[in-house]
Amino acid sequence: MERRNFIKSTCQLCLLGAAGLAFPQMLSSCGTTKSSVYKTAIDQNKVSIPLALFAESNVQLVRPEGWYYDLAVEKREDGSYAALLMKCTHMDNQLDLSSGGFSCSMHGSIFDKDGQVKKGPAERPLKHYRTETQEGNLIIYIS
Amino acid sequence: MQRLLFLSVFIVGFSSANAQFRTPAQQQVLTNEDSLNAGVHSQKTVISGYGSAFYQRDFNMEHSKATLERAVLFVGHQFNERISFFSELEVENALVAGGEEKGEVAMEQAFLKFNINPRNYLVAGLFIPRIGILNENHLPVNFNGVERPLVETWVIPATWRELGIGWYGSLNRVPLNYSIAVVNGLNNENFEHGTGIRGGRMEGSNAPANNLAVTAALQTHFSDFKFQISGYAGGTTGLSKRGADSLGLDGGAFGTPVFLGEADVQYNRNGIAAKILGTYISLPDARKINRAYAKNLASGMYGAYAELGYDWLYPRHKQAQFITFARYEVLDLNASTPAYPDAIYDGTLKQTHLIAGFGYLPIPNVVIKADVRLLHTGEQNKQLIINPAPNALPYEQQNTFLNIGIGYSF
Repeated sequence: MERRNFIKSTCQLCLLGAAGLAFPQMLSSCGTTKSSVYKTAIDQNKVSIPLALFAESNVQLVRPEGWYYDLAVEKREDGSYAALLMKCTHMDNQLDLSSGGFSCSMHGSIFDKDGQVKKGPAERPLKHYRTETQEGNLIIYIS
Repeated sequence: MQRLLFLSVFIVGFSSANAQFRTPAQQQVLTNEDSLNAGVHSQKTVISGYGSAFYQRDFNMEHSKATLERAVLFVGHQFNERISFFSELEVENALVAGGEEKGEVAMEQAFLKFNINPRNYLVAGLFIPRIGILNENHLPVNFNGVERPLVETWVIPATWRELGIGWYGSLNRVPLNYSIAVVNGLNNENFEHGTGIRGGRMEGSNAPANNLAVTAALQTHFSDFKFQISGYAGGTTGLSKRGADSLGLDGGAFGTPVFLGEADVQYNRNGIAAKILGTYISLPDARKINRAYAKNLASGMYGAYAELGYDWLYPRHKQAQFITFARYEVLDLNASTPAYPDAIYDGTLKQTHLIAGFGYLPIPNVVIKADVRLLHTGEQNKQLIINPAPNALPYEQQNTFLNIGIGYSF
């Protein structure tokens, strides 16, 4: 009987987990931030991404080949682009996208969408990379 | 000597020329130079930390105390771009003289992290699983109030760290973060009446690994909201099968189980921050533990809180923050109990807390806090007063606390 209760409780937890999986998918269907990653190779310390990626969303995640951190590239209202390295400046943990910016699950640092520290322990802003548009592509200089 | 000099210059020159020549194919490949420039390949050691100190006035007891609550030292080392080490060494209450009342030195975390890709990594060692909000975000600059939320202290026993392995990640196409971990289980021998499951944490110190636990969490964000659910299920009997049998407990990996479920929502926009959290713990075999160790444990516990805060300096786009907040917490550490005489209900464990105060952060890493906490509990059960002290004051269901504190992180 006790084992049955344990199995029953475990199944309930699984159902809860399944519901949790379904919920964000429902949310993503009506969300505006694009979280899919565009993977690209590095060529002479540059990566190139098509500007067409910003047709649906003004934020695009980019993964340079071989890197353990993604770049968050934002198209600003004035038409310029900003590329940020999603690496916490505290202890180099990968950052998560969160409402209005980035968060680190390691120690709780929070950065705004411009990479400025909103909550410690991080003290330095996120690393910015220079960008340039060329013939329908955005060039990100990663050096 | 001249020949040796010529040979050296030749070797250096050849090496240099060879290093600068890269075929188009080689240029597609990430080199050490590329990654060094990007800061993704560097062997380095980082030292940082956090701490807090506070003054508290207990108005019922007419007693005040001041303590350096925590001073924590982080040491992290990056071996290469894939493997890192993280640790937190904590000193509580400044002085270590044995026993937590006087002080404590403890490893709060010590684990290896293995990057799989930018969205997934594994951890192994002593780490803090993702359960609730505070467990992962326990630095004093990251929560409102001098004291940590009571629900995430006594129901979810943050900071809750155990030994094990965990997998953290997020999906590529959907804004979903996930984590799952297998850790050593709690030890029901150390559960105590009035402190929930907190006493059963092993914190990496000679944990009986006969029992195990699984914990998992899902997070997502939508617009200005962040949603999370997390759960924990595990055995609580650390004894061997023979030892468990002799005490009438269920042994094994998931014997005498405990289940914890938690859900929370956070909102953040234009200086307004709100969060709600609810959690429930089920200890279905509390009766067996009570019989084995002559305890008075509950079989069900819950807690919930709601908090609203506003940063008055947000409209000025200042780095400094001045946050006023109010938080209402309700918790019951004996929401359900085994039938008498296996347990006796304790009304004092049903509590509500209303906390209101402010936090001033001149920079995001330093905070000055002050708040007032109003406590209300249920009635004291006279059955639990076995040898009343002749000079004992009557139990008061209301109390007020004044807290003033500082905190830092770097």
